[in-house]
Amino acid sequence: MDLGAAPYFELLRERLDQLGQRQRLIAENIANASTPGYVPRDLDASAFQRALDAQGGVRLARTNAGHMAPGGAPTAQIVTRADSETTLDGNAVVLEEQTVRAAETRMQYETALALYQKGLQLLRMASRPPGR
Amino acid sequence: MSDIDAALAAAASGMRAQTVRMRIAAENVANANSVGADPNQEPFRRRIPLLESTTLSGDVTGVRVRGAVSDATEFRREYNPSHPAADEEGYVRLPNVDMLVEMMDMRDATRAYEANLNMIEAARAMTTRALDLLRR
Repeated sequence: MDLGAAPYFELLRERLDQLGQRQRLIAENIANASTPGYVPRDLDASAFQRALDAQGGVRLARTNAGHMAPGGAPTAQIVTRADSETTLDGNAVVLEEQTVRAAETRMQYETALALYQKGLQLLRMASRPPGR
Repeated sequence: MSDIDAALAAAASGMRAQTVRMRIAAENVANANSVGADPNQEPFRRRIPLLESTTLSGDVTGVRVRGAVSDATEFRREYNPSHPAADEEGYVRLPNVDMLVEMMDMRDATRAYEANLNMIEAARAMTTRALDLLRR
């Protein structure tokens, strides 16, 4: 059995990938907190979906009753977004805001990991002989 | 290179750049009273670090100090005719270092350094949590 392919684990793995990528972008923003002209980047999970919706939506054609609808989280997009303040040299990174985002991402990452662990526990429980 | 490693690399480059910035500010403060030996010699000129975004290995957007340029602001002048560097009118040219500006720059560098350090701590904690999956 391929654990990674099980929907529950696959979803969490995608989520972890996404959060790791977001954390990386935040680290890059913080590193550039004093670079003139730097505008911070972030991951917008809904940007891709919005772009799709604006196009009237793209769906896979289901021509047979046996076809399945595609699942999984939509691909996130990297967006450039200035924080609340921009300094005179054009730097738009506000350290406080980035720190909050980093903490938020870390919490979400740990939540996803805890859920992953619960999934493994369930599997272990299922594989244990009854009564032991 | 995983995203967490990339986060660590970016934060490390940020810390390096802030350290250089701090060093240049310290040099400016140290030389706040360095004057020339005679009227023709210029006193110390304040240096300004230039930070720029750079792409590190693994397509990581880090930061680096491109170099330092001299501040073109005019020198301070002080009336002190007995000084060897005084001109005919008795004025001595002093470095264009403003302590207030340097202190502010140092504060800013410290703050950014700490933010980068926190980022490393967060990335490390995330990896540790992920590795915990192996233990249980």
